[in-house]
Amino acid sequence: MPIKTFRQAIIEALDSEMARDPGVFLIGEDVAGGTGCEGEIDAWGSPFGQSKGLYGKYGPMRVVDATLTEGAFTALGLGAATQGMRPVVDLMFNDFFSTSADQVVNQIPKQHFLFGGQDKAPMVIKANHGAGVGAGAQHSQALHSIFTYFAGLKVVMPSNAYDCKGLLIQAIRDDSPVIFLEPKLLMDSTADVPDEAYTIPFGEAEYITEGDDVTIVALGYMVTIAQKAAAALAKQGIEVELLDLRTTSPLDLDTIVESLEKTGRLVIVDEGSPRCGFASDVAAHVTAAAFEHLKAAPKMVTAPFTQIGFAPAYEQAYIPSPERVEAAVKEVMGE
Amino acid sequence: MIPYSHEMLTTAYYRMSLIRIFEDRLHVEFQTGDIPGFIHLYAGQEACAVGCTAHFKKGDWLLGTHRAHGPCLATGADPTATMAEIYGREGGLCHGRGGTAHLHCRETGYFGAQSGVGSGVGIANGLGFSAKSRGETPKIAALVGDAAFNQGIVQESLNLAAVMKLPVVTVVENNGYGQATGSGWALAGGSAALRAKGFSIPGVSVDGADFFAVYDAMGEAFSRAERGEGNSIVEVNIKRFHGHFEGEAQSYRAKDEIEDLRANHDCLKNFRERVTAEGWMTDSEIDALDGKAQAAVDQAHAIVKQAPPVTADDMFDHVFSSAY
Amino acid sequence: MSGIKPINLPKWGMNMQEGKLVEWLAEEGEEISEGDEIIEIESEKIVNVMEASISGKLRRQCGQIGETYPVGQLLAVVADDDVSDAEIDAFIKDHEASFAKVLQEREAAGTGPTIATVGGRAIEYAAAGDGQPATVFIHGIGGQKEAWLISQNAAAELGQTVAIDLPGHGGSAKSVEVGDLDELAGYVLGVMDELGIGSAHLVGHSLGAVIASHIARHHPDRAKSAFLIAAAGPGTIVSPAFIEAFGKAESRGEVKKAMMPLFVDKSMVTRDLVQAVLKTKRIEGANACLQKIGEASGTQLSGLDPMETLRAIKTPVSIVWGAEDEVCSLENTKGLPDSVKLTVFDGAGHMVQIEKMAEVNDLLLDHIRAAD
Repeated sequence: MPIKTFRQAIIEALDSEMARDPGVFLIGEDVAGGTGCEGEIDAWGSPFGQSKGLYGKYGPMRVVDATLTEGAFTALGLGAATQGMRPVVDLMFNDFFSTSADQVVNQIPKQHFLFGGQDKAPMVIKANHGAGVGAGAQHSQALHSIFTYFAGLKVVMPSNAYDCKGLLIQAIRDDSPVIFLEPKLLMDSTADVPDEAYTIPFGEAEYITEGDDVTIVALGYMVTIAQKAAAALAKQGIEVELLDLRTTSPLDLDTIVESLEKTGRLVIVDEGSPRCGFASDVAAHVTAAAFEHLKAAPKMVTAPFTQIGFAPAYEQAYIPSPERVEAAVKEVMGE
Repeated sequence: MIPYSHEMLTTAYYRMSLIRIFEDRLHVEFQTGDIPGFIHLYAGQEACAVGCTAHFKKGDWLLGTHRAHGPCLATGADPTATMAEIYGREGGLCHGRGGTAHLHCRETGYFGAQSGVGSGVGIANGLGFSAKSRGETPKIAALVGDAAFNQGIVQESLNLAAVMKLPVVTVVENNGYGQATGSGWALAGGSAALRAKGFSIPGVSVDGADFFAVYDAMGEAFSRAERGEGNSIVEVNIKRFHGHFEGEAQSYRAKDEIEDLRANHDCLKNFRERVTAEGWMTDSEIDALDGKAQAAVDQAHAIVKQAPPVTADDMFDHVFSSAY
Repeated sequence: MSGIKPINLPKWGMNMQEGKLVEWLAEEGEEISEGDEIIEIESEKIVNVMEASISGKLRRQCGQIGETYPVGQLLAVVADDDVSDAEIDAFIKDHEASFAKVLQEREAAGTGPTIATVGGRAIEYAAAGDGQPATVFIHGIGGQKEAWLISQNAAAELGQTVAIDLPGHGGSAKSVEVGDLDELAGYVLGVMDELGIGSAHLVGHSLGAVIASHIARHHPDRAKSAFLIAAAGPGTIVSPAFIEAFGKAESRGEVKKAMMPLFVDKSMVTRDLVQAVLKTKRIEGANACLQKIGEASGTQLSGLDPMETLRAIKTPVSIVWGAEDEVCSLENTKGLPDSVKLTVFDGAGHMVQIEKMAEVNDLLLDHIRAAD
């Protein structure tokens, strides 16, 4: 099976769906790049190259460079979606949802509900996610929990290139609006990725490792962090069962509970805020659902309650590390 | 040679009359406490919405604002289903999900308002993009108030539509007020249409008490869009007869303003004067249409008053469009 | 540095790239002899035991449990007592340096899958060994060529071997024309043609066995013999409940449940195995393809008598079956012609070649040698 990067997986998913359905189009700033300029068109293929080559294949009505107006082009996406098209709106950084907040939180999740089911909004809003590249406080946030809050949105974040392609294809085909988050630090990661199209259903967690001692739950780049911790713990004789949740909405609570029936101990690793964040959400719901299986209170390993400073030391301190995860596991094991 | 078809004239007048009677009726009924929430009435502005939809056939779209009753009825939506939605009773257009501000009628081409005012101008670009992608030419008009016109989303979307040459018309309903703030002050430059120049697109200002002025301006704008030349602004000036929302103290208005409006700036009266003077229609024809409209409103009210209130049994329906 | 001998991660099968260290069976300081079991290694979701090819004192364990290493990685060092620790350290360092170069070269060379185009479709295969006699491995529904790794490795010592992915599986195209036995046999023969294999010993599991018997009957010049696992000829009865559940299963939980009947030891339905099946099933067209094959080469043939096919085969046939097979019941072996050698294993189910791997491999090698 061919080995491809996360970035290539995104391109292949877009390509496959654009070929299959003429209603699929990509819109965002510089998704082609070069519009209105005198150099190359498709100069960028998105700021991180995740759509390179698609403009040449599909042209300006399918790979649409927008003006610097997140609100306007997200609204355009919504309107087109109600007419049967399947827009993929690229917000670039998940932090930028703020400039299209009315669309993303007030309009899109409600389009189907507000009008009694007359309309659908089958669109994908995608953006990159997380810290680690020195982009500063306003370009490095992990906002998946914010989107999860709104009933009507599905929220997806792959942890590897294989999942990325399958989940993005699923997102484009889904009739509900989907927020698709691309962890920055995974862009160059590789995995076996089939050439053909395939889908991965939402709400299905994947077992990354199996073990009897403790359950670790993670998502996106945190899966990589947790994998490192699990490897270190294995050498110390602690067997970790690592679950990659893949989607925060819907959430695969059943698999977490199934795992806790075996281990009784839970550590949640999340790059988001310790307040009103995804870790708190999982901890509360799991405790309610599986209290009788818990041998200890769930431990949350999250970012600290601060902002992400620019200097590398700030970032290092912000992103949960394998060492912090190891420590949390030992705490929950009572060591 | 009559420049307007008889069918268009009768449908247009009927709809304007229906809106007037419907809204004036709700003004009275609201005071009984039967209608939940707030309502925003359109009386006085009928020619604006109907001046757009008089051009429509199936597949064309009017995107509305929270002042939704008039524009929704202007597309030909059923008055009973519209009233039921406003009352939160069974049989409403949106199963009681949207209510007065979020009426939506896909069938007749009325696209409901979303939250942030001005949202329709943004969403209209999506309808325009979709049409352009498919090589179709539906008429697409997005209503926005004079105050909402200042919203970022509106200015962003005018710009985007202009550079992409999208086939949409932004119809600014300049009724002189943003809630209780006068647009004479709030709208820098004094006229929304003037800003069109900044985008290099056409912008005209017309008297909203004159149906034909609105109709003709909209005709031009739709033709331009159809020719592939892109978007434009039509500003329709007419003050509303009621308050921003029902129950508010209209103390910000000059004392006899509303009397003056009803006497001298009534689009229904002006329409009647014009068509009878030109010999396009007779008074009795128009009276009959008034009667028909009155009957429709009476019937709607009678049905809706008896209809059961919407229950919460289906509150999880329509949250997701697919399996969750 | 004479007297210091390395133990490296072995290559079992042409396509093996890496293996995971599961368990040490020999400790530091232990004297080992050639043939001793020393390390448990997992590759392609199968755990196998590495035997020592040298004797001496195991001085240093270099690999970590749970880690995955590339083929050729230094896992242990064997040396006499008179060799110092410092010398062993130096040996390890040297090895690392030269091995790093080997890895670089491997990267540069690339490792693409081997694909033959047969009937306009891509058929992926894995080849190992050379010379006569040739052996061809055909998996069953939901399977993949990698599952044959150990068996293929064993047969590769005798001659050329090739394991194919049927359409709808692994790296092969996810479509078929009609999916009947003639078509499926055609893909097997096409790959044999591509490799210049005139005739071969055909080893098949489940549907693969039915295909093998079909070829042996209708193309006797291509089949030296048939080694059939958990199925006889066309008309072998497959549990309809299994087919339905497997076909319908979409989520991980559903697939895991549907695969339970395959093994006696249910713990063998591992996460990795379920993942592999899920990944195949989720590819566009795969499910429909599997359904077509299941019908055209399975359910639609239920009226046929498998013994009729077996009687018509002229070349040697051996059949292996698990006594507790819940998918293709042992009842299917009633009425076997006397010429067919049947071996039944207690405590094994439909995946008898996994559950009794060593024994089945021995039988296979005996079968090939005898048939030749």
